[in-house]
Amino acid sequence: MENIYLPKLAEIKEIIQETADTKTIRLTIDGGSIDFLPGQFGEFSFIGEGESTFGFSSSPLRKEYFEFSFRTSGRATSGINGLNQGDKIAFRGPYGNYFDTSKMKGKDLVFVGGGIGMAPVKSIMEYCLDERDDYGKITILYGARSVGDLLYKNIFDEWKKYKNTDVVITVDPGGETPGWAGKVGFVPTILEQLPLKGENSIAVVCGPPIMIKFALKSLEEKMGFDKGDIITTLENRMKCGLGKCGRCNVGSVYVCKDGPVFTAKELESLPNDF
Amino acid sequence: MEEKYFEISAENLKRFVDSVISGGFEVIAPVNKDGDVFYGKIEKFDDANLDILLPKMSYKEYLLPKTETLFEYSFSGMDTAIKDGIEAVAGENQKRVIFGGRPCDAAAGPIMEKVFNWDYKDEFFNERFKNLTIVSIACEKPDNYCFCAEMQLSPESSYGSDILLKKSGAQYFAVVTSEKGLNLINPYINLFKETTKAQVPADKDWKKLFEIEKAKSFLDKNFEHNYFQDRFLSCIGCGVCTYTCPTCHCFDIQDEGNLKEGRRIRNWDSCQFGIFTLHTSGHNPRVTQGDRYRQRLMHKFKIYSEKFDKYLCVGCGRCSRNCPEDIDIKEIAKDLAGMA
Amino acid sequence: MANTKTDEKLQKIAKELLESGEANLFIGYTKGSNPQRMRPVFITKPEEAEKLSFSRHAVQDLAVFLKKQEVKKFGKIGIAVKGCDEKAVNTLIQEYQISRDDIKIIGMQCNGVIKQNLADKGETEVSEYTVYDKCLICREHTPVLYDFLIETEEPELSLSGNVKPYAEIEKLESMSAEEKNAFWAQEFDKCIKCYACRQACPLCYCSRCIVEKNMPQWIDTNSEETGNAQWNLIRAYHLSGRCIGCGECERACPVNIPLMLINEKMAKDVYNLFGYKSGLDINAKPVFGVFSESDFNDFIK
Repeated sequence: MENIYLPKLAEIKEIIQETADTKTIRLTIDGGSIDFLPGQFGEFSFIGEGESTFGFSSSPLRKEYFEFSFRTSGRATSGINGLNQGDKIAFRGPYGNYFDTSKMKGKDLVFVGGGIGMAPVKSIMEYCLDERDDYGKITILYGARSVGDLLYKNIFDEWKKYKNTDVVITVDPGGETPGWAGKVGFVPTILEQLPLKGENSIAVVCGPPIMIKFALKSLEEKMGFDKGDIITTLENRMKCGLGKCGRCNVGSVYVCKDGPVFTAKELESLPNDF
Repeated sequence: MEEKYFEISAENLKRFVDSVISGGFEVIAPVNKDGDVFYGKIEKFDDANLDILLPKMSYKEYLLPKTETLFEYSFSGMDTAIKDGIEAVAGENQKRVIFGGRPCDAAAGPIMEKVFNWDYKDEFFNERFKNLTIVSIACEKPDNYCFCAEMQLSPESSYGSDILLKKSGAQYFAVVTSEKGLNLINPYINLFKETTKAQVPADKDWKKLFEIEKAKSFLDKNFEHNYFQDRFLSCIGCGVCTYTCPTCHCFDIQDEGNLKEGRRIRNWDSCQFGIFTLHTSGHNPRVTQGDRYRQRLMHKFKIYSEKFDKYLCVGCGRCSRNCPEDIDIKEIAKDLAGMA
Repeated sequence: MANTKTDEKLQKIAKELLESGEANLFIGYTKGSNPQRMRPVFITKPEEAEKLSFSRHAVQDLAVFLKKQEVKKFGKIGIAVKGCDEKAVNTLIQEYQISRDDIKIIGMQCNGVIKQNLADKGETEVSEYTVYDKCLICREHTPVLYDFLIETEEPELSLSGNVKPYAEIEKLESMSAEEKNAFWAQEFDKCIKCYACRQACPLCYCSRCIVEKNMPQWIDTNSEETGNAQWNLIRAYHLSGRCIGCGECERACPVNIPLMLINEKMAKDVYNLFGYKSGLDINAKPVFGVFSESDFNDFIK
């Protein structure tokens, strides 16, 4: 008899301190990754301190590990934060729907991430970079409040190496350091300055609600993106991840089962309850 | 299974229940307690109070305990050992009978079962449900808070009951709807007299005060309506409506223990609490009690029905009777239907 | 039912307060879901004041709404309160949760309200057998503080002495520690952790309750022996020296835990030890907010 709440134990292969309060943790089960798709999420825990919900941030095509990024903010994340390489993390998943890559093939792609919201974007983005030839031009726009708040700093250069791929990094005004070589400006503002057009393009946008709101507006109104071609994820509070506990309802949707990936068009049909 | 029909005298019903108890079943029935009536274990038929309409709480706890151990864990050196909680529930295999509940309470079982099985299968729920045999008694006099008929059930509905008893003069008719029900009466079949459906008194024509479909169609279009904020200013967010509800099933998952060992548990939770949807970032999609009570109405009358083709409400009226601020869900559903 | 004189007086005052702008919101009672029930009503328009009513079924302590954010945003508020409930308003003022200047208190003189479970069964008579225990020991039939007083038309409650309010307290006091533990273990076993006791309490106003704090996890989340006992004890402690005895926690409790036994015992002890009764004076310092040299200290060993 299967207990759907029972986690597996995964080993911490590597811990990357991204910022003062965020980390990326790379995990393995039986020496490798697990089967998941970009956009899906899992329930992670240091047993004894409770579970937290995180989207995967790695490309599932990279088979040596699976990873997630998190900010230490409560009891469960403090528990995870205290772990070291070689320690075990309890894991349930993968859960939820995923980015439909079949619809992205052959198109120009725009990836827009804000703060720690870059984590799920990174998963689909690296998945596409891993099969670079399947897609048209790729534009990556990533922003955070300040230079210190940028995750994945050590792999920006890696992203830039791919052909026909633009990487734009920005920080909010006042968040720049002396000698900062990237852009300064809010993500939606910088987005509008990029040479993008809606035709034959797909945009993936994740970040704080306020950033998503304005980025969606820019993409639709200024660049002519169709609402169905803008994809985002919802970050509702969850507990079970299995469509039971009732916490993540938005209208008739269980974000944990029917989401977390939604197009802007789908979001429009949901009540303002997220 | 095709329904079977029996007659049983009041005296034999007592013998039947007493025999079921001495036969090893745990029998849960309405009992007098603390000045009210609650479901509780009975040692004999006479312990049950069958004169009242409904116990104050539902018997949800026998399907979804207020606290349930999902697994136990222990640490030793660098190793973590996990003991699956499902084994204890499956091993317990406690055969229970709920006796003397009402059709509304009985309907709650299959309604919750859909949630716990629509995709992933929750075997904790399933094990408990499997071991539960429901013997309900049809209502003769619903009160003003009852609205099961509006919820597409009826005071005489057999939905969810393994055996439905219908009182007729000094005797009862037993409508047996399932193998579980048949298995329960089989050892004592000499107390029953088989009869035909034609002999069982027909259900009355229970009047409806409103059409629930209309309430739903209002909810479909009016998420932002002022009604919710104005009407639920009087809601104190106590959660009694959800905790006494036979179909409210939301839960929380928590770890509890010390540095050596502990357990992961699930506890009843409520959409009426502010913290229920509070994000780590501090953002909360449901800020006011109006937002929260609206969610309860949405889940009951819209969300669930769109996925499962029934409503997440059996019309028992407990939330209204027990609400400290006298919020009456029947009156509200009628309002919603009226505004559609 | 037609308006009583009390209703008319109440409606007139509320209407005038709303018209003059002395109150933006008036919180009172109106007729409820059955003839033996009243419910809270929130009036913002003078013409709606006619919904207001008051009776022996006005069981709710409306002061509970003063802690609600949705209500606070109205600013100036008028509120109808019985003597017991009014003590909650005083305590909220005393603890700087509301300002005396922002609240118009309409004191409802009261000679007892009928227990709701009896009323739901049709009880309509006020007697020592039908009212709450708090009514039997009430010394504030006329509220201690008010801007307007509405005198009652109800006859005075006659007490034969046959009903001993909170009789269980004496029994509990005579019990051994083990017996007391066993008594409360049995009562707390019923708890389902719905926290209705907290929500119904006008004085449980913390923006984040201790049970919602998990770093550290002060209170076990389970609804079993440990979690239930911890919750019920901490609730009682946070109300000691503060509880004004409105009994709303016990009335709201869906599993009938006799919470007022704890609250009243605490109030009794606080009075015996410190000579303090809560909710009577908005200028008094909260009993556990001050130290006096005459405080008993024989517990320090």
